Parts: sequence; structure tokens; C-alpha cells
Amino acid sequence: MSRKVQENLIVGLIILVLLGVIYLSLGYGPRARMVPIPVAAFGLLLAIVQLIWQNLRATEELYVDLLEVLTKRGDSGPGSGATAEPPAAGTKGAPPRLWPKELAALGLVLSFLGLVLLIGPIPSIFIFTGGYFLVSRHYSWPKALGYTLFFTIAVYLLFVIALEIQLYHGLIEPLIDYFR
Amino acid sequence: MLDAIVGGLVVLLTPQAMAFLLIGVVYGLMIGILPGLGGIVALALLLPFTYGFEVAATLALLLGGHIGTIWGSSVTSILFNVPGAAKSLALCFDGYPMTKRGEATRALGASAMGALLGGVFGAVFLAISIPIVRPIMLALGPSEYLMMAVWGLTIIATFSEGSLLKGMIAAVLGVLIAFIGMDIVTATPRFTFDSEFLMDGVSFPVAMIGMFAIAEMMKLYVKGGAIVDRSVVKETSTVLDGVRDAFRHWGLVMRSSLLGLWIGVLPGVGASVGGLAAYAQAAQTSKNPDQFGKGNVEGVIAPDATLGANEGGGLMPTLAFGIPGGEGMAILLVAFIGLGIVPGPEMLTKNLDLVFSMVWLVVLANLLVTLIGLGVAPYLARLPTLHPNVMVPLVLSVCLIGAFATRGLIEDVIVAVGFGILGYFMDKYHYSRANFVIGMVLATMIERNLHISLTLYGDYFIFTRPVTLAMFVFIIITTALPFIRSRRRRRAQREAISAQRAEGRAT
Repeated sequence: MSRKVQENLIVGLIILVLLGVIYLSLGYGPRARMVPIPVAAFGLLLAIVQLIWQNLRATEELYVDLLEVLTKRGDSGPGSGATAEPPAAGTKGAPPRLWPKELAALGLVLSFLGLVLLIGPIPSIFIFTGGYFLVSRHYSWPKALGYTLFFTIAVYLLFVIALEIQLYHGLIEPLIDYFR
Repeated sequence: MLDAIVGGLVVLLTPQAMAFLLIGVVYGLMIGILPGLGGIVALALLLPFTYGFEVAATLALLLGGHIGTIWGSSVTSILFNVPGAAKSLALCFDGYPMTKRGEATRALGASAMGALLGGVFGAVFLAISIPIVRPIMLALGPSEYLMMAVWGLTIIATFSEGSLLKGMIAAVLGVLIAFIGMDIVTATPRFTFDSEFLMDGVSFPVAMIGMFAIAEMMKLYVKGGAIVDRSVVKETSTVLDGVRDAFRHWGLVMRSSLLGLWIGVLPGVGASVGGLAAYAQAAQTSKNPDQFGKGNVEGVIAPDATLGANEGGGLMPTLAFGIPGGEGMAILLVAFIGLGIVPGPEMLTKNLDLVFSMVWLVVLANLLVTLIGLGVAPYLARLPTLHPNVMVPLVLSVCLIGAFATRGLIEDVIVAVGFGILGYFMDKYHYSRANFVIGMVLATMIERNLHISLTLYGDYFIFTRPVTLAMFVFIIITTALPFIRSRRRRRAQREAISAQRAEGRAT
């Protein structure tokens, strides 16, 4: 998927969200919708301008911003920095394939979240941290185990003992209680 | 008043008060560094320890803890682009680029010294302005607070992480996210989809943990390599460079301190607006506005000086009217009442020595924070060089448990992960995450004060309230200033080029 298509998809999604916000806001009272509707409508206008603008430009010029062109700020004003710098993916030459790593990062975060929901934060931290150390082979397994234990105990002492935070025990807890 | 100033200090010079101040500051620094756990959590946890000790010692513990969390939050903003609290958001804009450039130690030094100078200037200004503060506080109403929030929003026009158009879209999305939950004006549940959890809205700390910390860890995993690779980027600075920077920009420190003091004095405005307004002010008045967002040390000094001064200012409405200047002050108010300190106008007349004790505590706590900060900065600056295989699991773990600890709700962990994924893609497609959070922070304040202003003063309140009108004009001028400067610079460049050409033709 080309960078332009990706950018169009993102703006399309934003337009959908803003339309949804306007639609939902119409169901609220006049005072409750007084600010959200104009804000969403303004955002919608900006998103449409962005969509048209990015499709009028060549892919290489996607990072030149309409507002900067209009205000001629691209040369010296604040805001010229990040805009002038296109991301690594999607540029000419051999773009690095980011999506496998992105998918892995997404999977990593989601699996950690799944663990937390299932067995609660402290056991999840032990499994996730230890697993990460082992899979990445950054440490030998005794070291990985040692550091993981130390870190989990430190987190436990800090959050549960010192800060007295009542931890969530996970979806699995009722099951354990049931079999007890 | 001089008696009150001296009396306020003498009360604090006991071993117990000094020991409690040190404990409070160290504790505050540790809590501040943990994402999601800001000053409110730190103070709430200290409340049980506020009974049975001398009043001065207890106040030292509370204020020390409160001040410590502020600089602790700045540390994570500078080193990891993870604001420990909403008020430290502005420090990410230039602090993190400085870290990536190998100037983390300088940024931390400038931040600590900025906070100290801000705290001291704030306290001095506060002492001078006590007689005039009350009438000014009473003169300002919701329409002026609205203008203050709008001023904070103008930062979007002067600061751009990605493209300006996309930055504005991001701010709009942030504003809309802040509207999730029960509308405080009409009690209408908005965008909650009948979810009980969403009634309370999206928690700022949770959103920030996701938007910055989780997204940064995802980025780090995808990119590979440490945040700062010492084989490529050497640490080129020292703490003293940062200290010198803070003194060199004394004008900026003074302006930011005054701003912080007055934002603190206004009840309900909150330090989050202060940090952003200080950044906007620094960018608008700097000689190098084009360097903002790329690691300009002024962008670190200004928010920290404002935050340092803000605490002294925040004491005024809390003590004089019983109206907390911010969230932290609300917890302090509970503690004050527990200690038998009854807020009211008499605090600024009969109990002035107690007020000055607290002002002194703000100064002493800032001094301690700075001394500790300058001492540990070189060690803290090594943290971003950790290998991602160590950094990713550890930071992710602290983030998820931090998100949970914010309100004790497991749903907050899901929200943090959701914002993390959103933050990653916003960064990838250059939709400014900072603008998103700025929109989120300021939206509620803008909406609430707009409604109150319309009800109290009518549709044309901007033109019927002279102070509001003056602030409105000031906002327009300060927003337009960078554009005018840029235009002048271009014109000067064009004239110089045509003069050179004419000279070339003549020879």
C-alpha cells in the first residue's frame, strides 16, 4: 500500500469519526452540543482540506503542509522542522518494510494487555518481562530470571505494599475460586 | 509583614521539619518519576501521616512531596518523552529532542535550575504582591479564565510537531476526546455509549501514558536501538551547562515565574495550562523561535520556571478563600483543615506568618529538589541509553500498572493501550500527539468557562468585559507576532539579496 493510500485511509477514518461525533451530538441538548458540533465541524473542514491537498500533491511532497504554504512559514517559521522531514517508509529508494515489526509491536502490547486482563498485573509483569528477556536472548536464562524476579518484587513492593494499591486479580480468579 | 516573613522561616528551622522536608522531597521525586502517579497520588498517600506531628513538620512533608513530584515528572518528559503528569507535557517538546541530541544532562540541569529560580522568584513576587493579589483575584471571572485557556491553545499555532494542518486536526480530536463523559454543565452523558466507565471521562494521566510512553516503546521496538545510541551521539553536555543556561535566560525565567505565579493564583486554572502557556510565551518572545520543538533549552527553562512559581501562587486562593488553585492544592486543603488551618481572608492578615512558612517551604523544597536533581542528573541521563530489550519490557510493565494505579480501574489499562496504538500511528503519520493532549487538557476548561461566561455576561461578553477584551487582544498580538517577525525576516533577506545583486551589477 503506497504512502498516499495510507494517508488517505487515515484522513478517511478521521472524517468518519468526526461525522459520527456530529451525528451523536445532534441527539444532545442545545447546551451540551454547543461546543462539540462546531469543533467537530471545524475538524471536518480541516480533514477535507487535508484530503484534497494531499491528493493534489506528489507523494514526495506529502509533507509540505498547506497552511505552511499559505503562511509561507516553511522557510523560517516554527513548524518547518518536522514537516520538512518525511518518514523513512514511503520515500524513494528502498523503503524499509516496517509493517512486520509494527505488527509484532502491536502483538506484543496486545498480548501483554491480554495477560493483565487474564491473570492480573503482577503475574503478567513476571511472565512478560521474563519472556521478553528470554526470547530476545539479551540475558542468559539465569540472569533473565534473576532480573525478572528482582523487578517484579520491586514493582510489587512499590505499588502493592508502599502505595497500597488494590490490585486486579484477573478474569481467571473467579475460575480458580470455582474449582476451590 | 517583615515579622511574618522572619517568623515563618524560624518555625521551620527544627530538625523534625527539616527531616520531614527531605523525606517528602525524596518521596515526591520517586513518585513523580513513575508515569501516571502525579502529585495527587503522592499527596493522597501522605495524608495518613499528617496527624500527630508538629504543624511545620507536617506541612514540610506535604509541600516537599508535592514539589518533588513536579520535577520528577519533568525528568521522564525530558528523558523518555513521557510526561509524568499533564503539567509536564510542555517539557517533552524540547527536553526530549535535547536528550536525543546528547544533551540530556544539560536539559536536566536547566530544568532543575529553572524550577528553583521559578520557585524563588515566585515566592518573592508572591510576598510583594500579597496586598494587591486579593482585589485582582476577585476582579477576574470565568471569561478571563476562558481567555487564559485560549492562550494556552495558541501554542498549536506556534508549535508544530508534524504539519500545521494535521496538528490542528489532532488538537480537534483531543478536544473531542475530552468531551467523553458526563457534561459538567448540563449533566448530559456524551459519547459514553451507555458505558458506566466512560461516564467519568478519559483520565488525562492514562491517556498520556498511552499516547507517549506506550507509543514510544512501540516505536523503540520497531526502530530497534536505544533512544540515545552513545556510539553515535555522545553526551556532550554537563549539568553546569544547564545551570548556566537558566541564569543566561534570566529574563525568560522572570517572565515565566510571573506567569506561573498568576496562573497559580487564579483558582481552577491549573498548572497544566501554566506549562503550555509558558512554552507559548517562550516561543513567542524568543530570538530563535524556529529552534523550538527541536531542542531549544528555552523550551525547557520556561515551563519549569512556571511550574516552580505556580505552587507559591496556588497557595493564595487555597489559603485565602478555601478555593484550591489546582488538583494538588485540593488535597493540601484537606490536609490543612485536618491540621486546624482554616482557610479564609484572615490567613492573609492575622495568620500571615503561617502563609510565609508555606512560601518558605516552597523555596526550601525547590532548593532541595534542585540540589538532589543536579546530583543525580548525570546518572539519570544514562537511562535513555539502555538497550531496548531491557527498556521495552520494563517501561511497558510500569506503564500498564501505572495506568491501573491511577484510578484502580482495569478499564484504564485498556484505554492506555488504545491510546498507545493511536499515539504510535499519529506519530507515524505526523499528527501531533502534543497538540492532541493540549486539546484534551484545555477543552474542559474552555467549555466550562464559555458556558458560565455566556450565562453571566451575555453573548458579547468579550466586548463588554474590559479585562477579557484586553486579554483577547493580547492573545491575537502574541499569536500574530511570530508570523510578523518571520515576514520581516524574509523581507530583510530579500532586500539583502537584491542589494547584493545591485552591487554585483555595479561592479
